[in-house]
Amino acid sequence: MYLPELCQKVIAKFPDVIVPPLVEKTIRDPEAMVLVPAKNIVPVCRFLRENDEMAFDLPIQMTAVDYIKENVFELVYYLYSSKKKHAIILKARIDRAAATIESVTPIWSGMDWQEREVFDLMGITFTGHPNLKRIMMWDGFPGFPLRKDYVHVTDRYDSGLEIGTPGLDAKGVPFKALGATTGEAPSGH
Amino acid sequence: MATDVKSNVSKGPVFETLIEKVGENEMLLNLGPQHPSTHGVLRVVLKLDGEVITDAECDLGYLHRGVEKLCENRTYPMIIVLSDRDDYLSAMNNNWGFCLAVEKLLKTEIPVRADYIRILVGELNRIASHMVFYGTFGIDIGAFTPFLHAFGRDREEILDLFEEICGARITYNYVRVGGVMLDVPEGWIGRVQAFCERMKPRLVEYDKLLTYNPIFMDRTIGVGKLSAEKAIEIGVTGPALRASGPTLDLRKDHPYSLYSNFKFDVPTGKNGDCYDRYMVRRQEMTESFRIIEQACATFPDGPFMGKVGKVYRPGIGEVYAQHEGPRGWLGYYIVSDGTDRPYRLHIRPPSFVNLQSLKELVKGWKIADVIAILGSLDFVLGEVDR
Repeated sequence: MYLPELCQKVIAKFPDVIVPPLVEKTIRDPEAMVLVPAKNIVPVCRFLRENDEMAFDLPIQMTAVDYIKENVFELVYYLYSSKKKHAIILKARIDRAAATIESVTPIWSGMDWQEREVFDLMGITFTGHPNLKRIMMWDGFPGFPLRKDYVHVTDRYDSGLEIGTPGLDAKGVPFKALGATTGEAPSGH
Repeated sequence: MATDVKSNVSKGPVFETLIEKVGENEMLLNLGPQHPSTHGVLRVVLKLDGEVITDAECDLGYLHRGVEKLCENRTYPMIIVLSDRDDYLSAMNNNWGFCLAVEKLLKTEIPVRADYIRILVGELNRIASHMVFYGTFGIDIGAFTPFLHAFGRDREEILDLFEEICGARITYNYVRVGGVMLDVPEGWIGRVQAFCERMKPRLVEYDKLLTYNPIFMDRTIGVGKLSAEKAIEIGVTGPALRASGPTLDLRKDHPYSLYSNFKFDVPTGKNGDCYDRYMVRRQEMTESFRIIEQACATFPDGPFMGKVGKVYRPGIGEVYAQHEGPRGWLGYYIVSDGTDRPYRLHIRPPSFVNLQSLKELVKGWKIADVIAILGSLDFVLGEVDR
């Protein structure tokens, strides 16, 4: 069930929110989907949580996708309303170089670890997050594994390879040079 | 106590931040990562005032294998094998969840018989998973006998049934995109029905052993209460949420597969304490047996596999599919760029999200109660860390 009226209500409140145009033959979930400008993510989320018609009280999941060709990270939020039993997909696109967006953890505390996971593995900083620390990898781990330009640096678990050199790609060929994200970790990591 | 075993490069992040806040009469206690009651490798740092817990932090990642990154270099059928390893106590449900997402991408129709087989193995696996919970939760509280009954005897029978159907006992790789790997063997349905009959008196025995055991009740009733509002805000799903009151169950609210054809109830609790979380799972076992009996009685003929090629390339697009696993909503988010491998795959593991509630639950309780609360959440670290 596609819920355009749900999108219309969000757009009536926030005019710069758009419904991503449905390109022919692409596959998409039937739920309502809106593309939110990154700077508006917190006001839109607060509206979705607190408005009685929306009542999105259950955060299902959030994650990020690296669209390296378009030079953007896309953040995807799936929200659900336990009262109205409807769902909405929220998307926000941010610049790859800046990789910063406001945290929605103050609105749903369940986004806490999921944002930390994106911070850890995708290298996106969430401003206003109460405890933005690595969650999966250890301190000092170089690079962000889920980015598309990530190059694995060999460690003591790679047998037969010198430690600290770029590892092998999926075809078993050594990477020529270290990728942009494998250098020194940015501050905060 | 302050040494960190996760890395020899630096100290663990959790301990350092908690140390800053420690008051004069407070101390820190490290629970795990090798503590038997953490059911895997989870490290919890507890801040104590005397014996009362004032704060807690979880340290995850000991089992992180980078499944989401591995998936980007594998074709879709190769990922089903990885999904077995996420929640290794209910691998059938993981296979199923992933296949639901790929089938949504491919827009494949599933034969009725395949859906019936999926419901049968899915519900049997839910029971097997709850049996592990039943046994280990008893051990956490101090009762060893329930474990021998549920884990050592009854769960083995389910694993025997699975071994018969696919050859494996833990990691099945049985549910495939478009259907299931193999048809059920001759007489298998009859053996499932016989197992259901055998289990009826045993479930009464379960209640005698643990459910109405006064010591067990004293240790769990009123301990670790989670309010419905807080649970929903954190995103807790599955039995842990239903113990707090809401009846959210994807099988009822947004029926997938053929669940709308079956009659079953959704057990809920009132208080959201450890006992309610136990009771919801205990009653879910009975409900799952009801579904299995109905599915066995109306088991249809027909093909067990739909028309899906050996090699398939879904169209460009993205889908999120979720279903009701034994621990909550298990979701797979797949972005496809039109090749035979996903561009991005994200798993929404129920345990990972549910475990966030631990910090709220343990505040104000004593260390022995932490063990009860940890056990009642019934998480699997393979799924938390991925």
